[in-house]
Amino acid sequence: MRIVEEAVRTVRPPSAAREAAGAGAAVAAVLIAGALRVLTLDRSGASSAAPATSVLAGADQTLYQALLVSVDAIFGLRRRTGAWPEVAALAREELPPFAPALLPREARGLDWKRRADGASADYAGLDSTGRRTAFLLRLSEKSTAGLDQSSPARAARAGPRLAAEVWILKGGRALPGAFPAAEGWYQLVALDGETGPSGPR
Amino acid sequence: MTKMRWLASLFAAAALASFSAAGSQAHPLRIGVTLNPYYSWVANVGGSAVTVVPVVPSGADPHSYQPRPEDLAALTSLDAVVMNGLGHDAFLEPMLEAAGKSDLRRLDLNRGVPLLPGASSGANSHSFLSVLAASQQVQTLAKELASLDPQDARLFEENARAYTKRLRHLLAEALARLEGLDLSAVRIATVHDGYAYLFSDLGLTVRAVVQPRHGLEPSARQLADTIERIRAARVNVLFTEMALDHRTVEAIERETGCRLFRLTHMAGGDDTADRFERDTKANLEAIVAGVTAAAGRR
Repeated sequence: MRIVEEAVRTVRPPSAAREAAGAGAAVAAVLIAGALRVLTLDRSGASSAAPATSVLAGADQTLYQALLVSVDAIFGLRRRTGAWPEVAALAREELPPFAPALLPREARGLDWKRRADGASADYAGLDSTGRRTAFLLRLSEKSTAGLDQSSPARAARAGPRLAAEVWILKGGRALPGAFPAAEGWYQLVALDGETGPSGPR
Repeated sequence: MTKMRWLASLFAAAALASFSAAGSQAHPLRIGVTLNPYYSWVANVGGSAVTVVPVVPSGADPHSYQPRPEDLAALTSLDAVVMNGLGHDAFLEPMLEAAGKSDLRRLDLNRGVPLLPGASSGANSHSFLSVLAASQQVQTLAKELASLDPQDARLFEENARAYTKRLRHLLAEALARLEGLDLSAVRIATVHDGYAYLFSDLGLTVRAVVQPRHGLEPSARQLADTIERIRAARVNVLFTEMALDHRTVEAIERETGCRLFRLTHMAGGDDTADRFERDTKANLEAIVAGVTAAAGRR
């Protein structure tokens, strides 16, 4: 038998694709990663021989996982009602992180806001204290023009192409604009409804 | 691999006898599963539109599983197979190769899941033990099944929605019972790193992982070493596995003063639609009981 007290943590640099978001974002990424007890960061995607592990730990990991659970439910409600659901509606659906009862104490307390604009919507968990990690879930319906409409994956998905991104910012107090990286936010993952996720797990 | 080639030759005869309709895409879909939780997920999401086919025979432990010719034959009838892809079902790829089904569609449910690190190296493959990670994987499963059977896409989506809601209710119940406890002095250890995902759902930190080789009882020397390390880590609650011998449990409790509670790894045993919910409920109840006991013993 053996005891493992703590896993070894290493930081790997972001990929060139993320670096394209700007040098400022890259610096912010390193700072945030350190503050969040970075584990490993592998941008090589799902085909990697050694799958990447989450960059987060503790309550931040729980919130990140919860946001990913909420993505399909939000798109489902959007499809059924024609509108991006309000935060209160997501809480009534008992969806974490919008329903506090589905979160451990440490993960509660962020102020969840929605900003909808046509084909896209932001759901942000903001931190009024400036001490915690703020989260942004950015959802959008994208044009399917240019996609092979006869492919099995497309045939199974009537309607627009769906995309989701999760961003974080230590101490984020306000919703970011169109370019979160320019405001110091760090992208954890980009999910494409047609092709699956890119970025770290 | 030598054994796998030998099995492949045996399989050829078995396949001819057993599966004249091999590779059929006929409705309902035939979906293979490598682990017990995946059986429950596919059964609940797929409903009447899917036939679930365990790749590992019911009752076998995937950690020590050795394929038989009839197991390879069963692969030929599948439309797709749900896989872990993180090492928990490493037996699958050699089986597919031996069965001539290397091109079978794999449904990798861990794709997109924020994985935790394993105790030694790489990613922790036990994401299926977490309610939240399981919910994400069930939703991925619904989309994958929809791409195989677009006609039933709405059924899969609705089933996944109802199923994940039931799973979340289990989590909410456990969280409510932890509410109000002072967890500041609770120091948790597990015998296996796989439970980290479930503890994360509950906002609990695992301080130490005491990890014997899965399914094996520790030797006297290993047990003594474990006891010493539990003392050093000042752990006051240890979550062990169902299979651990009661004499080992009693020795650890006696020597360390640390209470032991049992969790299930969900590996091996029967494949049923409700098993994942039952096992998850049992795991959550054990964790709540253990943490409550540790919090009250400060």
